[in-house]
Amino acid sequence: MSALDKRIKDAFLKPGARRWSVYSLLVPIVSVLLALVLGSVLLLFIGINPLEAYWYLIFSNFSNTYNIAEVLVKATPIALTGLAFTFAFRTGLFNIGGEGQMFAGAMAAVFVGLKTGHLPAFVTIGLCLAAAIVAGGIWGFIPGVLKGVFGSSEIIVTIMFNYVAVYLLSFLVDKPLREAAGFYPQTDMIGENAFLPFLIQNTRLHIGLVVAIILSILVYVVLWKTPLGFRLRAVGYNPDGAEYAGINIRRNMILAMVISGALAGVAGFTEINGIHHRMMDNFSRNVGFDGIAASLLGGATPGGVFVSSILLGMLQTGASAMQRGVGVPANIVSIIQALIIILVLAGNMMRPKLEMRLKVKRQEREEREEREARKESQGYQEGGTDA
Amino acid sequence: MDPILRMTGISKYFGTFAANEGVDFDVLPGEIHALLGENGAGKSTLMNVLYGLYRPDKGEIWFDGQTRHFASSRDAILTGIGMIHQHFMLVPVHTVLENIIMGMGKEKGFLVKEAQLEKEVLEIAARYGMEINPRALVSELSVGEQQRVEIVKALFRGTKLLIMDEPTAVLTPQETEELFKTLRRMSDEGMSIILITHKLNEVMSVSNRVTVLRDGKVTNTVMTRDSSEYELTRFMIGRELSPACREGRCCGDKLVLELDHVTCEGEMGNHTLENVSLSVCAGEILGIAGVDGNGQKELAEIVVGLRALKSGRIFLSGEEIAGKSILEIIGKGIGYIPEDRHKRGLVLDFTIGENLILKDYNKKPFTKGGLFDFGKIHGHADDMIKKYSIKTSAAGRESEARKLSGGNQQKIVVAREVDKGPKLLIAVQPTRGVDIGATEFIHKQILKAKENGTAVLLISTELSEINQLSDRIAVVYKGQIMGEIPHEAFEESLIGLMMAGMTYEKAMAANRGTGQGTKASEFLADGHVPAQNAEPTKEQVNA
Amino acid sequence: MNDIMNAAFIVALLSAALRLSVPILFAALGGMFSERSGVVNIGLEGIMLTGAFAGVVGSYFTGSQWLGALVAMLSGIALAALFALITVKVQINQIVSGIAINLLAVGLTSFFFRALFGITTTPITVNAFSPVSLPGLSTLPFVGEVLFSQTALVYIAFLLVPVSWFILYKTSWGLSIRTVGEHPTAADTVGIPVNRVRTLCVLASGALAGLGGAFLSLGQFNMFVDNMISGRGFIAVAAVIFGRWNPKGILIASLIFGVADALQIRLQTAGIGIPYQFLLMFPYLLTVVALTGIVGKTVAPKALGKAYAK
Repeated sequence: MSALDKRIKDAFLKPGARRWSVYSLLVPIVSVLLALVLGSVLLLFIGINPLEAYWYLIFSNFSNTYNIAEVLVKATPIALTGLAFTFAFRTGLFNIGGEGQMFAGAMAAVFVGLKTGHLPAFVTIGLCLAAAIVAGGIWGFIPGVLKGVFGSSEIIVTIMFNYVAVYLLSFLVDKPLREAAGFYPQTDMIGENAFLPFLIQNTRLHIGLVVAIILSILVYVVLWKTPLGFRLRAVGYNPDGAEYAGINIRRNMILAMVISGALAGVAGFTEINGIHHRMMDNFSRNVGFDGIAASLLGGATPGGVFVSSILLGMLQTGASAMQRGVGVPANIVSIIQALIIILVLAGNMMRPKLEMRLKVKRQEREEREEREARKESQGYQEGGTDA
Repeated sequence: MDPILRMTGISKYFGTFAANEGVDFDVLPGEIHALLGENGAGKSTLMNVLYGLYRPDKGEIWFDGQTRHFASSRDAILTGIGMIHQHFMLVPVHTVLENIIMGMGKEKGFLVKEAQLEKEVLEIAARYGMEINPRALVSELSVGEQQRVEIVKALFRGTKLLIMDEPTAVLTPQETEELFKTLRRMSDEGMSIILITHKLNEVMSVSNRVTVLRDGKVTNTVMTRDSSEYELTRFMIGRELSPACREGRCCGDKLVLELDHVTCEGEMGNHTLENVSLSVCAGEILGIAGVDGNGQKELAEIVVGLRALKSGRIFLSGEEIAGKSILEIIGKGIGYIPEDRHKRGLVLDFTIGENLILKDYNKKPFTKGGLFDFGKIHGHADDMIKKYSIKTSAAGRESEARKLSGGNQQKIVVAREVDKGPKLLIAVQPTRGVDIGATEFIHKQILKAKENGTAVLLISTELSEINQLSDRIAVVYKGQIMGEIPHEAFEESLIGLMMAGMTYEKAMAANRGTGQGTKASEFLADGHVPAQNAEPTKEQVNA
Repeated sequence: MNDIMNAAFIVALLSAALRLSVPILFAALGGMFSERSGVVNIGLEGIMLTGAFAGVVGSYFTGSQWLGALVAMLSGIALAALFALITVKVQINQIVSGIAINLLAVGLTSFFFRALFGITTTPITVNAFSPVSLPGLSTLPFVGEVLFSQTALVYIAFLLVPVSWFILYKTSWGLSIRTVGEHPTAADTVGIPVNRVRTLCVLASGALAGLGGAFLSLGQFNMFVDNMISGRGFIAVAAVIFGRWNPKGILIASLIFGVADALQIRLQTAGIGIPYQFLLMFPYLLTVVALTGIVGKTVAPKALGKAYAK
């Protein structure tokens, strides 16, 4: 076996390295392509040329600075809710409540932004962020406690709290926090100092992106490089073994839900302080679920989540361009998104079997080559096939 | 007489590993044929092939007049082959009747006619002299009764050839005798039985023929009455074993662990431990014998802190530890090799290195200032891998524990728990599901710990292991200690009576009266060590 | 305040409660079969949505609400087939698969709705189910209006309860299903085809959830709107837990949620001073409360949530 072959083989087997080997990128790429192909069937069904549609979908994102920035604008809250889902997932919990936790964060941020928006930027932005973290944390704490104490399915509870948050928000913009002018169900604008500064002028891209990047790195470090992350992952993989190691399962589950909720709450902060600067009914719907999608696509790792959220951002920005350009309803993108998820999950399940089959084939080929090499060196003439 | 079953040239491969190679095996009608071999020898694979769970890569199966190709166990059942697994295939929350008739929709009709079916079940049971209650919930039955349900289940389906996988692993010696009586009765009635086992004395007492498997191949097939336990051991392992030897005994003055009238409650309000009093000294091994499920698990758990006491006290070197947190108790120097390493002992998806620091991840030198010091963690892992001969995959210390064989997984647990020289070591079934080589190694580690002054509480259902290693033996039955025996007085029949509920005094009296037991102690005194318990796990077979 | 306590109010309330419990009852009974065989189906929400949509489409193009209901069931089966494929065959985590199915359903229904009907502001009118008064019984005082003047689907739903009970406990199918959910390995060893049983149960849950969705669009709101299921599919999953995985308990659980839903609507119109948003929250909070009081773990099918691999 050549030295190159050996290196590829070793790269295969090292668990950390495996994430970035050729094979692990193959699955997402093939899935995206396959999903686009399936999507084109639907496009043909409504009489649209898929190539034309996809041209808009993909390339409109790069056509100018504004669009590139828009992709990142969309990706930011998705990355944050994706981190939220990932964090809980690693502890063995399914936090489907990213949506509600984001709203909780948004409600807190808007409230603080309205009240303190006149203070120096540093102060008011800091307060809004803190409020969003606390509110999101609380919205994650409740399901966490119910799970820890009563064993209630966090899946259902977090989903229920999504609806509660939606209605709470609806109430707030309807009555107590309604704008002074009173026309629309929305709040006044928060004080100018609470606006997040822009990263690129003449676009909507704000420093929320930087916050998302920093938090991604932080989540990675905490989960894999600290005792806290060790504890949480142990609980996620094997609660019984963790219990024996003296790890308090209940406390760590609740902690994971609080941190998870807080991360999603930050998404609410970035949307309020960075984009809308006020809260209205039906604001940023579905970001929570996009986050879950990003996490599943990204293999529940912070790096993967970030990259996937950019992909999803591209799909969404591209979808509006596609609708304007070719008249395709933008929500075909949600179908494509769902298909990508299913294909990626299926692909990841089948990957070990494929890799094992490739490995065995390679082993057999090597053994055969070895035998032939030996026979040649003995000057043995072969007539016929090997046994 | 023509055989009812003939397997010829059976080979089964998992990747490049040959679980069975060229196996020839036959069974005569009405015969009890024992299939003998140590862990990983291929007995389970062969029977899974016969029962339709695996497809053979080579070879043929000829049963009851025809060549057979089983696509699933349903096919095997329909032709009259029944299998009783070591871990019962019964649903605890269903009744006996439901368990017996499950899956027989085609034969017995869409509607479940309870009265009618109950009658049929009772008839079949009576024919073979077995008592059974169709309405009882399986969860309420004793292990022996559950096994009876499994047997009736097979008979109900018209089984002609019954495969029994390690049937006596969970029975007391007396229940075993009951079972053998039933088997002999069935064999008289023409039922053919394949008995998978590693217990030589049982092979000798109940089988007509024995086939020995080693490394996937048949080494010998002999008539039982023409052979001996010694010869069979030689066939099984092909060499003499050098069992770890116990030296020295308890000094009596350095008391490490003391349980004082401990009572502990289970989920249903019953007492899983009742008034248990025990003591273990430094440098002594106290063996706890008993049939699985009589309180052993709870005994280990209350000492470690995984379970709460109802009453009584526990002292560790004079300090009371009942009610303290697991973290505190471990901190006082206790090592715990749990019964189920997959559940309590390891986090399978963690690497070897991570598993080795499972208890100490939060302490120096592994953690500094809130972050892990990977240099120290990796160094520690490399040391342990070398010292305890842990065989890893190509990824070395980064191998996930899941990928290792049972024996190597257990070595990780042993390394972690024993290496620091704990004051007290609690080992529960330490060699279950572990191959012979690793078993020897682990036994030596336990003895080494004892020599270094560790007090050892050894809990095992494997009497040979208890006998080999213990200085004293206590027998537990339904949560109570039936008595303690010093090593020289160890006799299997004595222990058997105690495992079934007799106190030490009564058992001694009974033993003396009947003159039993000489054969067993003679056998053990010759240094014979039967092979280990438990079936190979999938990982091991595929490894 | 007086209107609340008079008889007419209560009759209307109970009648509505019965109606509102039906979608949950359908979906929960389906969920029960699925979970009894060991498969958690979080995708019920998406399947109900698909059923609601397909029911409207079917009724629109055929002019018959019964055919619409049939189309709804078939669409539910189709989506459930996809779900079964990825959970039972490919063996992806069941929760994650359910989430994916929900996302797919949302996308598919809104896409095809716009594709077929364009973007309109006036709702599409379809033939819907109208109440069928059972002769004689519906004239009984009080009980008559509440119980016996409902749409056909309501009667079907309630009949399904004893039928499900019978199938589950008195037939060999039911025994096989329960065995597969408790101890799939034991089932395998007696020749029960574990994955086939699971797939069939999942398909059944799809059919029933689809029908439940159709009830909302054809028997209640008489239209299709994006995301119209509003969490009822998840409430159905909670109802299975709350009802302890048996038809009787599930019936009670569904009725309780139905009462909560009906109450919340009536209170809104009765104008008792609580902002309507808080009333809307009520069913969801009730579900949360229901999940705290239950010892779900000891009663759940033992093999629930775990894929079966030999």
